[in-house]
Amino acid sequence: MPSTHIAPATRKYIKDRRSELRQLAEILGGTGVVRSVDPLSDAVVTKGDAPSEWRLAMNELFFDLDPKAVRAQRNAKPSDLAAISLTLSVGLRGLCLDRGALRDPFVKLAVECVVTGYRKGTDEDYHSAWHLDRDEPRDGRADLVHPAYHVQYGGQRLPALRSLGNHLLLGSPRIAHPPLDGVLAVDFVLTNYFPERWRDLRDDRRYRGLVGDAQDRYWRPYSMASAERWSAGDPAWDGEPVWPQVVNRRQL
Amino acid sequence: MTYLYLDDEITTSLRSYVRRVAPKEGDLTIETVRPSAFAEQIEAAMRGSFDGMILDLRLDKVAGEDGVQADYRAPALAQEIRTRAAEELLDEDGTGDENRGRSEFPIALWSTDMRLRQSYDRDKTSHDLFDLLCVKEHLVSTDPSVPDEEKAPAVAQRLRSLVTGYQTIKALRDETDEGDEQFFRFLGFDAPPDGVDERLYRYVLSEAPPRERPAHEYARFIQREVLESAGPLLDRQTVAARLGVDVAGSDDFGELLGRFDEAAYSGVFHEGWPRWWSDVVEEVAEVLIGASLRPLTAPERVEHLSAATGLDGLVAAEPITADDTTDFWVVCQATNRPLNPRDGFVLETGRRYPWQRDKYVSRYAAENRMLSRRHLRLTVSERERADALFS
Repeated sequence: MPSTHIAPATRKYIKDRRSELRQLAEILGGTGVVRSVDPLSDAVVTKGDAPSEWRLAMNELFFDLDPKAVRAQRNAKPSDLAAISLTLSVGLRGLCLDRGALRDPFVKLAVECVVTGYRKGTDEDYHSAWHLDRDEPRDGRADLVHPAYHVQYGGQRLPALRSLGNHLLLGSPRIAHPPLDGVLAVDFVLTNYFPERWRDLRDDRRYRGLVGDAQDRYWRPYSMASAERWSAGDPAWDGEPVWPQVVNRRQL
Repeated sequence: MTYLYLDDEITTSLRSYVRRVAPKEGDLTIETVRPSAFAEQIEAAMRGSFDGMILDLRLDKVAGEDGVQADYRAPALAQEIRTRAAEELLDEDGTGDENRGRSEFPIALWSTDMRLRQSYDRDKTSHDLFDLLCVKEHLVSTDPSVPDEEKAPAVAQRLRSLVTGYQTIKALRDETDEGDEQFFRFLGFDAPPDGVDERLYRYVLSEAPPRERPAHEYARFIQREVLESAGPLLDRQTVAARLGVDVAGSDDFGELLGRFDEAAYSGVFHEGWPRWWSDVVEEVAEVLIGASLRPLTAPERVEHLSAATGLDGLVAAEPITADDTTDFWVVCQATNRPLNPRDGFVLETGRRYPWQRDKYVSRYAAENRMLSRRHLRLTVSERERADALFS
């Protein structure tokens, strides 16, 4: 791969992002949290098409609920599942920004999670899915009805369901949520589906460091942009697409 | 190239195995010899002029016509050779570099299937002593379930490759400056390679000064932890899986592989262990077809590759069962068929280096109990998952 024509700062940014996923792989390896850490090690982390842009593609990281955790899902329907597993995929294009930058760090973001339940002795699998997307502006204009970064139930990866029963699948609602990169997406899955493991990992200084750094890079600007909605100043990140539901203070 | 082969029972069938591996006209010679008493045998090994040794596991079963019966087995002899070879590197007897490296050569172990399983398999400490393990009956086998790499032609290639590889190792080792490890040179590179995991190409074999490191430690490490483990280097079957190609059914697979020469591993032992760098394979494929192969199904991959290369003799690989997906990435270690990890289970592979990857078996193999006879085991959590799904 030609490595000329990349600014040193960009190259370092990409190298750091790749190294973080490797560190995450080392931390998670052997803990039994994920089925295999290879998708983290094999994640594609490279430069993007534009200068100072980077790309991440992480395919199908598998998490398995251990039998105890499966049984603990008391409100699951169907309730007699033998095993539950999740796969997490992350694809993004982002900007290689300096520390402390407050701009929107991503150009494109798609985090997909498919949850599958298995029943023993049958071929029937049960699926649900959610995804976090960053809307891309259409015709150069942001869609100002929905938050730019949002979580939605369902997703393109949701396989055709054999029988929906009385369940209705719609596109809405889009719920605003801060962006997730590879590290934060893994943390998100852990907090929501593996709370005990998450607590153990949060005791690990290295893990805390990785998550904290990622939050600094992606959640701080997002929070500032959200907060900006409540002020009248001139923002680095115009918060309107982040939290469009907030009435613009400047217009009140 | 000459290998000295020690066996206490030089039977007709043994001679036929040897002939198959080293035919008369070839460049590889195997001299079969009965083992002498230990001390004599060691001397002969240390001072002989051969390029490698092959040992039968049990050298002590049968006495020769002269009444001499060895009172040792292959691991003991191999261990002594290795120990003395290491000592020669330290030049403790002050004879200088004269004997340095002279008794550093590949040692292969040949035995019958039964004896290997009874004696060798159980003795894990011996596994580090030998560069190649061969089951005699497999050398001449026509059974398709015996892997090709255990049959005579591949074994011959490996024996040759071991000799060349040891020579390369010794040369590179003696050029290595302390503190400036250039392990990438053992991997076939002149300079630190872009895109290869740095933790691999900057690997430091041991704390000992380079000149004191035994060649066989390098050999064992490269074979075990670089070539035979899953990781940045792919074997032929795995390359085929990632290209979506059914090897047996594709007349043009060899041709297609030729387009990936840029990705071919050229480091130590490459002749006997042909491998390809996974990143480069993906890059070459992407340039060929203008898109990433990974998300495509096998039929789609083959269609694109056929169109891009003009090769018609390419057939898409079939999934192991009809329910399995065809965007193959790895190979099922039990069936040797292509697999995507989502349709399989992770194997227990023991201690791992950071550049290594997991190995998998298909759900089909796990469900049909095909693992134990191949000495394969799932990880603990994967066993739980398998039990929950279909025990």
